[in-house]
Amino acid sequence: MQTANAIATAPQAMVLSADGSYLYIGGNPLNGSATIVRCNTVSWAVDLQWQVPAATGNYGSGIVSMATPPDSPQTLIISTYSDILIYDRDQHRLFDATAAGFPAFQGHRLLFAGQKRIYGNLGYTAPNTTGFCLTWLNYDAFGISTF
Amino acid sequence: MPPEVQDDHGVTYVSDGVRNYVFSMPSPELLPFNSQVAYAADPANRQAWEIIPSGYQTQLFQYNMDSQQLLFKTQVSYPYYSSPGVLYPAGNGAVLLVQENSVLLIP
Repeated sequence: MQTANAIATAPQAMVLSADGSYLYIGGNPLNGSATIVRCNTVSWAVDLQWQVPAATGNYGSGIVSMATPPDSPQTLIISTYSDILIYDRDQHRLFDATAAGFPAFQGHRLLFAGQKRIYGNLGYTAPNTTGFCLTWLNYDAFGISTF
Repeated sequence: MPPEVQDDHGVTYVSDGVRNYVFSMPSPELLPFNSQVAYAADPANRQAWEIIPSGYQTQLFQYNMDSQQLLFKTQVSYPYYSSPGVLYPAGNGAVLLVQENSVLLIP
């Protein structure tokens, strides 16, 4: 077994697929695009790697957090500095949160992914309150959904 | 709240049948936002846990989801550059406390 630093550059987030077969590591290199590295947890070999492009008009694509759904080990949900995206292997589903019509998500921290919904934390609360602002988005085979 | 979010005797969590994520549970104190509090629950064994940082100590509390009693379990130090840790139910009523330099199984 290796450390995340030995596998990915500037690792920011890690998540296991629900069946434990893959470990995804998201890194934010100082000079370059955010990168996802997928490790097979049997061989501990990197078997897939891809870059997450920056959204139009945004400086970087930095990864904030990641989540995996319960029923698809090859699917990864990523929140970046500006958006929420779903990948099947290294293929981006058509609708990210911005394309689905949601306002830009800045630093949205993903907490959990169920079969149809992604749960997250917007990272702020109303004045004079404690706790956090729980949010959720629906998703389907095309990506983030408004239904 | 979506229907898969459950409130079970004060423990609010979402589950996909295998994994769960705890959003909140009773605490010994009013917790400020963004404190590095972490939760875990094992609904089958009717237990939930939370860790609350205090200085560079992690305080672990256990909550019985039937009797609704919150108990202080233990206190573990953690490095100043690190986080207080993450909890994983062990599935037998115990919990794993994972910190940067240690993994503790706490019965």
